[in-house]
Amino acid sequence: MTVTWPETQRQRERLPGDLIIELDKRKKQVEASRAARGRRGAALTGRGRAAIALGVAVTGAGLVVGSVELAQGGIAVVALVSGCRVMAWFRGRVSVINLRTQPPMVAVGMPAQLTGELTGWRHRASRVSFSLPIDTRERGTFALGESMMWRSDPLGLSVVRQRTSRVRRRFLVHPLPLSPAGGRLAFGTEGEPSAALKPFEDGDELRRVHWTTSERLGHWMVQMPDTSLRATTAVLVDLRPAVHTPDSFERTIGLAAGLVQPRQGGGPTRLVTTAGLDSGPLATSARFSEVLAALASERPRPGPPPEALIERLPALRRCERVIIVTTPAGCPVTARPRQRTEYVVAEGPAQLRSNPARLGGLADGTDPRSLLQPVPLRSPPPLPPVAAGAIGVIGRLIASGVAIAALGLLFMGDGWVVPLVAAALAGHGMPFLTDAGARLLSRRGSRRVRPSVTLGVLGGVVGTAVIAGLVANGGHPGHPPIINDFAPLGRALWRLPVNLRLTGVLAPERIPLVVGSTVAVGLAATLAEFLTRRGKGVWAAVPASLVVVFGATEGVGHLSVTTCGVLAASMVLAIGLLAGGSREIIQVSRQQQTGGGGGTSSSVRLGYPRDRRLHWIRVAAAVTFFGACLALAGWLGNLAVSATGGGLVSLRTAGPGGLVHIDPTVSFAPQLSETGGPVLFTVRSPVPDYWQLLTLDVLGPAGFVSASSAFTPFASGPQPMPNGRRVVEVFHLVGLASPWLPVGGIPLSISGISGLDWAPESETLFVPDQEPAAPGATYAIDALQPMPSAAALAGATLVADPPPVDLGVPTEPDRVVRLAHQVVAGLTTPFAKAVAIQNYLRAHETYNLNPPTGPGNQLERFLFVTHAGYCQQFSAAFALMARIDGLPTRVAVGTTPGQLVQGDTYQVTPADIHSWPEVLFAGLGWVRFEPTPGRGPPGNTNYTGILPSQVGAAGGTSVAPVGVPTHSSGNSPDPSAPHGEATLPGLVPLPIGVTPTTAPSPARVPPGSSRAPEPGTSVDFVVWGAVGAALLLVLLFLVAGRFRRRVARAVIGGIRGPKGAGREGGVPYELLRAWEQACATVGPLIGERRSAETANAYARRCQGRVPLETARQLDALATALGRAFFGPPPVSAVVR
Amino acid sequence: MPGESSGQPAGNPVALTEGVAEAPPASESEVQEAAAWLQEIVAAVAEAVVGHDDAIRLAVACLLSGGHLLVEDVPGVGKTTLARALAAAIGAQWQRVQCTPDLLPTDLTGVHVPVGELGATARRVELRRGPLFAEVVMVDELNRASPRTQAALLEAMEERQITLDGVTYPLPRPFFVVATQNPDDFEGTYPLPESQLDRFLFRLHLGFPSVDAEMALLRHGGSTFGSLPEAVVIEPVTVPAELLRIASIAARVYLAPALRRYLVELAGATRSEPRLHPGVSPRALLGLAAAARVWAAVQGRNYVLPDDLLELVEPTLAHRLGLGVIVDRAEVSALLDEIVRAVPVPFPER
Repeated sequence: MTVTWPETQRQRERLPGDLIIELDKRKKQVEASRAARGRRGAALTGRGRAAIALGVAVTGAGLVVGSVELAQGGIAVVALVSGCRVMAWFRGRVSVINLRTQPPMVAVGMPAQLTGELTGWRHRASRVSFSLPIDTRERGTFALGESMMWRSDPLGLSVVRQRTSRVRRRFLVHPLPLSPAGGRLAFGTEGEPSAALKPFEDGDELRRVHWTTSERLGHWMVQMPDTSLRATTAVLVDLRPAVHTPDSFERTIGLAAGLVQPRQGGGPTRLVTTAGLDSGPLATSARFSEVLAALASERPRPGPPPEALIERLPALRRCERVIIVTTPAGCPVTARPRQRTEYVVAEGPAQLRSNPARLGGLADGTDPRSLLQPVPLRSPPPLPPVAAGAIGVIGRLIASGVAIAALGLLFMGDGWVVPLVAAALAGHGMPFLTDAGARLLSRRGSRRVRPSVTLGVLGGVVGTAVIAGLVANGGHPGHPPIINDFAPLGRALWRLPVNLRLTGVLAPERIPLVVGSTVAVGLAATLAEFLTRRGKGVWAAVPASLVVVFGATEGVGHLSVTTCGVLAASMVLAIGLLAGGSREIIQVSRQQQTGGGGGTSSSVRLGYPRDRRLHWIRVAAAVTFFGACLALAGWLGNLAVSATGGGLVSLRTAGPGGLVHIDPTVSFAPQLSETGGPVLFTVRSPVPDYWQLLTLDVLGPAGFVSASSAFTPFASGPQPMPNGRRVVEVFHLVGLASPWLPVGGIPLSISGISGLDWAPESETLFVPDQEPAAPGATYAIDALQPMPSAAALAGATLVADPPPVDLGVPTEPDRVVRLAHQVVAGLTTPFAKAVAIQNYLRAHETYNLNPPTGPGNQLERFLFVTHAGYCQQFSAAFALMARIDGLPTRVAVGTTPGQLVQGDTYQVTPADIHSWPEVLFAGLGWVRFEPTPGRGPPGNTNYTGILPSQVGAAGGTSVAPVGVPTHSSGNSPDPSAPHGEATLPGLVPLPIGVTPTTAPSPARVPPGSSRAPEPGTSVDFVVWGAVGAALLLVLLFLVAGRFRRRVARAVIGGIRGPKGAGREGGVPYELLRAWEQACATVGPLIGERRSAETANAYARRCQGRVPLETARQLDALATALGRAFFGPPPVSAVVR
Repeated sequence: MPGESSGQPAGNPVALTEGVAEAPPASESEVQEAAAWLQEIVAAVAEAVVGHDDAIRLAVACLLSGGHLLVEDVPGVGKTTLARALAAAIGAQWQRVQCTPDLLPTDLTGVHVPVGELGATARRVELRRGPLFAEVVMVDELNRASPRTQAALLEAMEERQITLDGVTYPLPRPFFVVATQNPDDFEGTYPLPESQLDRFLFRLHLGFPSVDAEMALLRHGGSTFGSLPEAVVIEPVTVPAELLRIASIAARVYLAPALRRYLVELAGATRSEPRLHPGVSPRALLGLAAAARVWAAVQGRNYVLPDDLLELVEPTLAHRLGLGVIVDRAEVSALLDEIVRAVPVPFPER
């Protein structure tokens, strides 16, 4: 006989007796798919659905209100619930084994319990026994099983239904044996000798005297060899529905059971029912249980009257007595004289109802389900390796924590996260590579090669050092090391020493930082790897996942106070819930096999005994899981809120006394990326210019704000200006409703509109009374556009008396100050310093309309971490650095010239909004600078241009300055230039100062980094998000995969036991299947194995009745089965 | 006198099965070796006792379990031969006691005899050893001895020591009592009390040999009628000390927890059967477990199967259960069989 499986990849294994079984090597998968089928019922609970609804609502509210924290919280809730649902798939399969009823049979109403044991990945070290009360309110033969289990996550958000056992147990709830009222019918009275003995009479053999009984009774008794099994009394039960009420029927059954109950000294009886049941002589308890089983499933059934039955059945006629159990309705008017017939009348309320004490309180109306109390569970034996495991875990956690904290402290900012992540990844990956290399290099077949810890440490250290140097290199090109563009990475590698020197990473005070962080991460990673090789991969994943989670949260998301709070609360909640044990409900179906009546079920909640080792695994998994959820939440929440837009520069609402915030984080980026927006205004001007709206003078904690300066009514009149040109600009307001009016240059006179205010300090034209200028207004300005010569700029000095507004610098981080000083190191003239700053920013930072946000000083982040921003960040950073270097600088907000539509008319849309810095020079006034290197989305007006006179020799190492390469300060302005520019609308250089006379050259093309499809926009974000999500997913699957493997092992282990542990009473899965299939083969021939029959006995029974070969192999199977099931556990398990 | 026993190994009544729970299970090779020895013993005994291989195996199992054997059968089927041959095969001392109603306890145990000169002030007392001081004791027709004598045997069997005049003498190890009684002849007998029946691990029925066996018997020993036991010369297969080592191996045969539970369930089933009123005693369960271990070892297994238990249920339990109203042996066996068939055997589940 060859037992085969339908799956592929079979393996032949020899069992004793030359039996060949083709084993399925993929049995784990088979088992897993089986388990998956059992889990079909996974679903969210009502609580879970409510939580999701709440999360969605909160997220929506957060989006509407614009609150990042609210949206994050909502998404966290949704992610948490979804994660619970997903993680439910990875819950190990639990099997129920050794189902037993205690006692094996019970009278109706009496307490009984179903006991069993749970095995599974959580219980592989020690099985957990449980017991369920059985509902015994109804008599009958019940099938107990299949057992199902509902397992919910610690939070009760989702529930998984799985079948834990298909085993069915037969359970008999037999009728309660009742005695007839008064007991006068107790045949086989006390003291009467049994039927097997009789009093001594003359002629009896003396050797048949039963001395024991004779001694007890006082007179001689002799044995009767052949009379032992002849029933002398018959109990005839009247089951006819016509004579019964429900109560009387129950009582009749009980009386019948009581009458046939074997008792000491009673003779054999015989039970006959009107429905045709005939028990035969009942001499033993075993037969009596069969009768009880038959009685238990009796229902009112039609049949002949008892008297007719007596006539019909010879067995009844031979009996000395026939006791008919019936009701008054069943009693005939006249009794039969020829038979010794007695009637037992079941009257009155059934005793079942009248004896509450006997029924355990069921009869007094109490809910029997109140009896369904869980039985205290047996605690498993303590696990010796727990202490060692806990110490290892704590050590790893501490190592990782120290590494993270040390890095955070040492880097003094948030730039440490990325190197930490990268180093951890490198540290975790390197040992694998080095291990593989060592194996390759080692002698073939040698198993003594162990993963080299030294090589692992080396890998971690090298990886950490390289990546830390890369990222801390001062920001070029602004990308983290894991990038979607390899060119900057190559350049960065090439310039690594330069960058390190430039940014002071190799400064003496930084050396401990680099060394310390490198060693710490390397050690943590190596420790994790080392532990992985000890078979504790789950634990090794903890530091790595912590790192990744923190990295994702810090680097991508917006880690706010709310997030931290939610994180902490979730951790506490999870740990608390996990420590308390999860809620699992096991239910064993109970179905009546015979008769009517639907099945009932009982359930009980199990609180698992605390197993500390498993408990810690769960805590770790929960921590990882919640961390991942929150990281995702942080990322998504930030993404969602920034997508809805924070706030435009509030042109409409800001008043003269109010402050206009230029928030470097969230401002008019959405407008800048808007193409085809409404036209704000049109300008007819011979020369394009930046149309200034307002200027921001005061640097506050949130960025540059406008100073509340005095406004005076505008008074026309020429102002002294050394070098400039007068142009007439005609503005027509279309969609702009602003208290400030756009103006190009310094207005000399205004026509077409009256009653305007003028702020001389901030050079702002303002509509009084906080009323925005009505759309449709048209006004003409005779303006003076300053055009300082290059010589004048080069020799310009700072003003002796600065304007009354605050041009100071608040306390800035050291590295900003250091950077500002480094950039202008060696330069003497103010103009040269300004140009140096301008070129530094243009060269080192990247234009990006969606700069990554994060905690801390945004300008510092821009300069040192993200290296990405748009005009706000550039102008603000320029102003900050220039102020640090002593230059009076302000930030101007306005628009670029706009799109040249016809003739000399320019059309300005929201996409043209811009900001730029201005530096005050003595005699030259506020001179514009342009640190912003490029323009965002394709199709928008490219306004980037630098005055040729402002192109200094110091700047532009990697990015060519825009504009004319030659110094052309001597050239006169060319009024026709704008017309010439009309052919290249998008490439208009700033017309301030000297207008270039040369034709537009390729050099005018904005720098390549800004011309290329913008890496700085949301693409970057998506790529980063995808990378992070992929990493998280891989990590989760790694962790989950380990669990899955353990589960698979444990499922097999439920029978065989994993690695010998808990093998007691285990049988290889395949062997059991082989036995079952063999039994199924021979079963039709010789019947199934009886419950009291051993496998060997069954195999012997088969001999001679099945083919010889089959019998032989069945015998071998039985032997193997016995060895597996009853054999001693492996030595290792015993020793332990 | 204490000095009398100084040369004897200190007797421990439960030494054969001591330390089972703590000791690691016997390895397969150990058990194989033990089984080989046991097979040799069985083969040696089978030379003398023809046609009773099963009974011999049971007797050997009984000997190794540290129990005692009650052989209940008609005369002339080889009871004495069995005991004699067994003793010879293991190289043990052998004594035979024929019980009669006037047999005194001291006839079994021995007496203290004063030695030294008559009239001396301090006379030494010397033990004149009775037949119980042998390693294998054959007690023929036990039920013919007076209850007093039976009681003397009681202490020796259970405690494995003899107390005479307040001095306790340990009995040799192994100490194996083979008692016989004729089941069909009750006249002039003193039926064994329950306590003593419970002290016998097995009760055997040799029965008549099969035709082939009887023919072999005739061919083999037909010429030596009248001196049958002495004529069969059995070379000792082993020595008692070696036997103790084998017994210690057999005692470490693995008994699975499922089988322990099965045993308990079996006992519970007999106790709940009203006709077998007291049911099986815990001592009987212990004996059954120990015997099953040896039984498994005899077959070269280092673990017990339920089949072992089932095979030994009848010889181990039947004589302990016929205490109630039912005395008929066949009926007790039938009842026992019915009970056994009602208790499910432990079986692996999925």
